[in-house]
Amino acid sequence: MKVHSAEFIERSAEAIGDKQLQRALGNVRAGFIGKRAKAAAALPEFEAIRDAAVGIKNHVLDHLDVYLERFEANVNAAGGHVHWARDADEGRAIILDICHKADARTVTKGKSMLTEEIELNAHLDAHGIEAVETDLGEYIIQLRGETPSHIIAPAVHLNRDQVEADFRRVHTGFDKDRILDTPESLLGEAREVLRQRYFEADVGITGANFLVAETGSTVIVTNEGNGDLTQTLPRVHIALASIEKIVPTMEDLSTILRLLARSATGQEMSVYTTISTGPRRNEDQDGPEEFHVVLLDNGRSALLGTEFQEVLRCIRCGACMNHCPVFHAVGGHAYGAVYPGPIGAVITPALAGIDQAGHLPNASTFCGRCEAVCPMRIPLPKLMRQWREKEYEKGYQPGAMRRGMSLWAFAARHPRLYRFGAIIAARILSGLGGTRHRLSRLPLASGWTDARDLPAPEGRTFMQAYAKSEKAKRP
Amino acid sequence: MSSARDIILQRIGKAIEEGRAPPRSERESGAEACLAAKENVLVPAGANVSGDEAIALFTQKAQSVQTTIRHVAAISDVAEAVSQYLTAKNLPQAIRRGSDPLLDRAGWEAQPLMEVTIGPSDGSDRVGLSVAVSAVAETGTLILSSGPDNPTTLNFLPDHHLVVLSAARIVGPLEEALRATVAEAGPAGILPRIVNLITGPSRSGDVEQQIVLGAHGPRAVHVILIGDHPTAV
Repeated sequence: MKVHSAEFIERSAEAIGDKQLQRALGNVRAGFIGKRAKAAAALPEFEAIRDAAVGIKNHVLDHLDVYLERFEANVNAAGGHVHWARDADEGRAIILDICHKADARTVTKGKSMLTEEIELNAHLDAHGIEAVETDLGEYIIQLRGETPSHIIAPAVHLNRDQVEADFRRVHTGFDKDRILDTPESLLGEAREVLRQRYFEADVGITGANFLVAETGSTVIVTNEGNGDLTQTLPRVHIALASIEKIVPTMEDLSTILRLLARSATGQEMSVYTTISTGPRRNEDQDGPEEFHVVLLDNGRSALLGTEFQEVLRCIRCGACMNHCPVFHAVGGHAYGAVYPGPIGAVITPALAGIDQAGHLPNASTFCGRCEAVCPMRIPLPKLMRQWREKEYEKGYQPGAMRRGMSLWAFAARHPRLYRFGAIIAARILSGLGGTRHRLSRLPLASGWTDARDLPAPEGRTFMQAYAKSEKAKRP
Repeated sequence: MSSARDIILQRIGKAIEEGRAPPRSERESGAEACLAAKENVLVPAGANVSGDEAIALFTQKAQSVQTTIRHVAAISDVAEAVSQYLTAKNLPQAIRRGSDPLLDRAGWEAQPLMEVTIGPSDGSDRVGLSVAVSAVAETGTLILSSGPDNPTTLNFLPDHHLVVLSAARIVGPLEEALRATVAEAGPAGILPRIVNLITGPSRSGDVEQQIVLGAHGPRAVHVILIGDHPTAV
């Protein structure tokens, strides 16, 4: 996985200055937070279901090898094929091989972040196979040659006028004077264009939100219906899934489904939840003749049994990024990786290496909203902190930061020294603050004071104030 | 040389044993016990409804996601309800349906002007008619299983998706409907190729997070609900 996370700071600065992007990012706050809160509040058992879902997924991860074998056996029993890929290279090669055997020239794709992770489209393209994204958001960014900026709303960084310009540029067969300035008209035109593509495709590739061990089924959850057309009309259906997507039974699936849509879009249930088992049966009149499931590891097994195992509970709802003040400010592309936001800040260092992605776990205010809304209760701030510790251990931070940290650590281990230093610093800063009680410039703190004033301390430290109030309480 | 499969499974086994996972033999029995028990995890109290309550909740939830519902007394009233829907929507009197035997008794003979074709859709049909195997009251969700009589293309390609549902098949919680679907799959337990859970007409919020109906699937989902009692079918 190629990442550009090392340029996070430059990319963020660009993002903050990008007016179009900033306008579009307003839709994240407006479009997701209130809806999720309302949906969660409307289900009295929501918090208890979160606990139960955590239990299901922890159980799955602790029995993962057994469940994967059971899943595989059940896919085979239903006439499907399971392929195992250790990494992105193997995953791409397996899919290309299936496409070649099907003599595929065109494949349609349902929305799949995992295909982004293994950069599948570029690989197919390099081998003369056209991959057509069919999810509206994915279709739009494919036209623009971009990557998704959000895991469930890939084009959330765009405004309608940008989409209109792209459609006018690419959809040349339409009347030039047509009106195309509403979400309705844009969706209508994409629907018309993509309808033909579904029928032309030789292979349909989808991801999988879940793999049901008891039945050998893959499950996709969508609103548009594109995933269903993708996997129903071509002769071959390939579902690409990472190994942690297992749920044991339909009861477990039902429980986690109650969280997924509510956390993602604030719906009680997404429009389409589709359970696919094997290829079409002899008497069936439609559906694919071949059903392939590609199980991808790509770094996940290395997280099992470590302090990062909890991240494998993720169901990719996007709630963490929808509620993240950093994501709201810079959008998804600044992260320079497939998975943005808090979950990306934890997954990317695991998949690409902390040396490549060290900025990401630092791009957090630790406000804790991501953990508060994560349906699977993944302790994202804690895991980001663990990455920071690893980064420190490996010496990846700049020298000045390391020296500053060492100094602070020394002081923190010597409370008398710390308090004395704090008293001196508070007095000096209070004096510097003058009558305005504000500091507009401060050495070593220009990162703060360049953009805004720092309120000056009152002159006493917290410990001094505390000691005084305790003293006053005594008779 | 070991296969990728074996290497991945070995890696997983080794890694989870370094965590808190029990040894392999206990993992096997633990997973087996979970798969055999098929226990409900946590059914919300509000989803535990049946009978008239389930019908009322299904109706309310389905309507809240823009599914429309028409009640009829018996299967023989379905053709008339279809015809009235087409008229109300200003559509030609033509539909495509699956060969489900239930629909043979829909009263087509009373609608001589309606063109009824049977089989999967090739994308040229305006209106498709399917039969739902069940429905979930808690979310207003229809459950449709693929099979020779119920082609999946009918659920997605026509602009209008009409679905016949027997009121007796409405259950409260999702797990009850899914468990019944697995149970009906027969002793081998192999599910139909596709089990569709459909909750309203297709939609997208991908342009500026504004929800628009009619993305790639149907623009309208209309349920023809038969009877309030099992004997109606």
